[in-house]
Amino acid sequence: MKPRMQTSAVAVCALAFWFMAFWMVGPSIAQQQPPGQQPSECLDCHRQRNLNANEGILSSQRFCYNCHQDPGSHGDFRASKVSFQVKPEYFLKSPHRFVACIQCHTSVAQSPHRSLSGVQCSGCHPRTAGSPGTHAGHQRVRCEACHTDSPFVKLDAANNEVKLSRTNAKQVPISLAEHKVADVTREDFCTKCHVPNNQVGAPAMVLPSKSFVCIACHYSPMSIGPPVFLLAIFVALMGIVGTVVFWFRAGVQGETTSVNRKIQLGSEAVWSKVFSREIFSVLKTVFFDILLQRRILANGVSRWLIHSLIFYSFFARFALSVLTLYLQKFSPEGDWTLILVNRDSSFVATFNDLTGVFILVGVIWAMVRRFITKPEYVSTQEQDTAALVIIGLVALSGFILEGMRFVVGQIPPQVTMSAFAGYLISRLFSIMNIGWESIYGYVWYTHALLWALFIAYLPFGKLKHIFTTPLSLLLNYKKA
Amino acid sequence: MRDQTVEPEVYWRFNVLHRAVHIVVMIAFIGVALTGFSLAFSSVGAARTFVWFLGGIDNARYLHRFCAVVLYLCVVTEVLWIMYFKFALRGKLFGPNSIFFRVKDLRFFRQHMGYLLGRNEAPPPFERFTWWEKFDYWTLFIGMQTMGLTGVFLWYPEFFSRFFPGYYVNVAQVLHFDEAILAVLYKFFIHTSVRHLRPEVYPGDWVIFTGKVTKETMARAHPGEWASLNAPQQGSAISDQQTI
Amino acid sequence: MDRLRLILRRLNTAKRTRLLRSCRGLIIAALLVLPIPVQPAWSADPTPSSSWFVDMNRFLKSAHGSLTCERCHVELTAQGKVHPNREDPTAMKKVVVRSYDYQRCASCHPEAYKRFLEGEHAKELAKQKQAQSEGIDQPPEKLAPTCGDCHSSHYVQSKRSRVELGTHMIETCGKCHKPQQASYLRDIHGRMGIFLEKKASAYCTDCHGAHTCESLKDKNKALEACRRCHRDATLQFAGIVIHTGKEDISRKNPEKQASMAFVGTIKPIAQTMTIILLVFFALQTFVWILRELHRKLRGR
Repeated sequence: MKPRMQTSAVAVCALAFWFMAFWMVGPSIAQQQPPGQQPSECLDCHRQRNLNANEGILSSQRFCYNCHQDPGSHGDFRASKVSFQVKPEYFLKSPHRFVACIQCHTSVAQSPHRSLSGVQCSGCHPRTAGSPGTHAGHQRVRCEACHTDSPFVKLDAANNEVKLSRTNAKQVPISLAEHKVADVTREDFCTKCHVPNNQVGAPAMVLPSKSFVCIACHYSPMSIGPPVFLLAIFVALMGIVGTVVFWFRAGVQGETTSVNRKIQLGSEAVWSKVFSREIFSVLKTVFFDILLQRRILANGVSRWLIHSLIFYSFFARFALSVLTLYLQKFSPEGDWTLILVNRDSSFVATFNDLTGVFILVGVIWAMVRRFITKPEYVSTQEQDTAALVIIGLVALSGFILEGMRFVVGQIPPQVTMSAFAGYLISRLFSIMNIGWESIYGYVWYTHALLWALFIAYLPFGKLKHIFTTPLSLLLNYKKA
Repeated sequence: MRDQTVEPEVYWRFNVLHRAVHIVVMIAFIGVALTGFSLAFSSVGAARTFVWFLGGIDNARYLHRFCAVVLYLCVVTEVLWIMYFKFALRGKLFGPNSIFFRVKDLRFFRQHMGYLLGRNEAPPPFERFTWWEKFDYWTLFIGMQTMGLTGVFLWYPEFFSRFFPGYYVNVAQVLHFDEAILAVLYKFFIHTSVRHLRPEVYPGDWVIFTGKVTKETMARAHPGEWASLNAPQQGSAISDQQTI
Repeated sequence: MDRLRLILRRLNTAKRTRLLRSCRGLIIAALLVLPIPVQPAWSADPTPSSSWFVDMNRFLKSAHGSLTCERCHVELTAQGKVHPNREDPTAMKKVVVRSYDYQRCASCHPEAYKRFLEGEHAKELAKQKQAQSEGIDQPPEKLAPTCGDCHSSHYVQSKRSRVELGTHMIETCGKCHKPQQASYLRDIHGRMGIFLEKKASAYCTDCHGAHTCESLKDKNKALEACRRCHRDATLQFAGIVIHTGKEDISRKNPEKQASMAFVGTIKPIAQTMTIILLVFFALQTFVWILRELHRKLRGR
């Protein structure tokens, strides 16, 4: 097209566009009332307020206060009077006093006047917020069950939810309308549920959150946790420091006396290799020898399989835990975050059980080779046994704990079936009538202590190969 | 043919017909798979984007049926070739150079499994076609019959429901989908792994496109056939390399 | 002078062309992209339409936007009426779609009302009203629908396309007929009509009748419905099962039960065979690759 025709074509298109735009958008710019009509009296109450405005919220609350501020407002349930009054001494001091009633009680403003969906918090509060140490393990507990100051809770086993009970211990209906918010920082707050003989499937002991070192396998908070882990980390650090000091006792790059010179020469050597063409050979070593472990494959296919079953499982779990931590911090309301934070979601449950089974299979296969078939080229020292035993016990105790958790929590099979191994164990445990909820805490501490032992032992036995082998592979990389 | 004048030691494994049929089958298979799954998994956004890209579901259906007909014509071509091989070239259908299964293949299968599990040092001396190549060929052949039959039931349900009860169409839906899943997963993961990712042939086994292999490959991959080629010649109507 | 003018004119054209050429792409892109968010997006009801609060923005854009409240809610503003009536114990407990007099709709929608009365929903509603007067109550999920159960009078939109109507339809019908909604979406008609947005597909009312909502258990009735699009269909064609879910097959339909039992035995066999084959070959290929890698690393 010639330039002038192009301009005209563009102008016509632009006009057509704006015409279409106004034609379609038009009616919403019109006034709120059909023209020529008196404002309807109905709309004084029945107009939906703009809940983005403070005036809108207060005006919307007034509609509900017509009945719910009256101290006499009540309902009759089974010959008891249950108060419906929203008590001003609680509500007006609560952080929700500037939230409209229907923003939380989304489905209640209708006939019949009952809420179909209860109260919702996730519109403002991400389910994954708060301290991940506490909330992650309580995904099946409804927010109000902890955060409303009512001592009566119950387990809805069919939906796998812990919720507030509408009746007290004597089955008398109670008022839940006071809007009294609980103080979660109190010492005895957790004992609402975590007591012996509780009805909500909670372990009898109040257990601490996981430690950060548990992130090797589980989504964990960024804190040291129980003091035993502090001790374990300390011991491990001592071991690492000792190992490094031992290395630097020897000659480095020809220097045998001055530690300062050794560090200087060593770091210069590393620096010059990293910033040179040879970085590509180094990267090849990282990929083929460290990640894919081709040297083990050169030794034998079954060795590679055994080692991979254990190594890749731990690696994958660590990666997933770190990813979950990252997502929870930076995308707390995302779909993937909600799935990954909840250890009972089918993806996480299946992933964890699958990797756990792989670890156990690897350990058992290795033990069979070391103790039963015993080929001539396999030599077994105490350190080999120790490493295998620790890993095996950690994995085994983890599965036992999972099975117990399913039994104690009365979690329904539709949920637990994804964790296929834990499910089978829980079926076995449910046949035995031991007091699982009181033992649970002890087995939890055993599992935690075994891992603390792993951490403490790490620099001293053969398990330190996790760090020293990649290091020596890098230092001895094959030049291309 | 043993071509000693132009290139040293090159062995023909596939003639032009087979190479052409493979290319056509490859493209048509991808066509039916993509269009078929965009209908079967139409709740997925990517499928709907693909259908939009093709210009609507009616175009996608047409393309699916077109590629399906092309695929079946390739099957017919292969049947015609087998008949040509038997009657014109007087090849032996159950001889060492045939794509048909023989009793020996059971032994080769056992020995091959032994090699994979570390019991045998080397793979067995395969002949013209290994057991898994024959398996691939015949499962595709039989699969095409099922897919064709069920597909045609779904294409003309009014016609076929005249002779069969209505629920045969439901059965056809189930089988067509399940077999499609099997075929696509097999081809996409297993066939490509065996032909591209296996260290012996990495980055790819191009023989199905070029038709020829070197002497070393013959000796490694088909030692049985290699040995019979080097044995003293017996008079036969077919040339050494002309097989199914 | 003239030469200068000529030169200027030529320069201007060139400059203008360059300017337009560079902006052309942008302008065309803008024209294509901008109308998209501007169009009023069709959307389903986000809040229950029987909420006490009416969203006036949506109401004024709806098909009933030009009507006053009193036109339809006559009884609330009649003489001597108190609203809200706090003395009435049943006030907060009445389900609004059960207590509103929907004959008022017939004044504008006579055809639809008549067809509704001829259909299955109306017959069931009459039966339930009869049972209620005798004291038998229905569980909420079994209540027959009134006009208000399916149509939102406050927010209903007019002039919707076939695909929009169909997509809204399955959510409405699916509120009570959940298994049928699920099996429809697994069937080819559901996939074509809803996911692939093919206009010439069958939605709920295309087969089951608009407002008449009849069951197609009788094969002859079903054949009539099929023949609307499949003109060469015979009676056996009507035996093809559309709603194949377990809950769709009532015990009163032994033929459909038998058909689905047959399909139900073939399906797991096919799936098991698929899984066995794939797992075997996947494992075999994996170990094979490892074995050959090992050989290569050993230098053989």
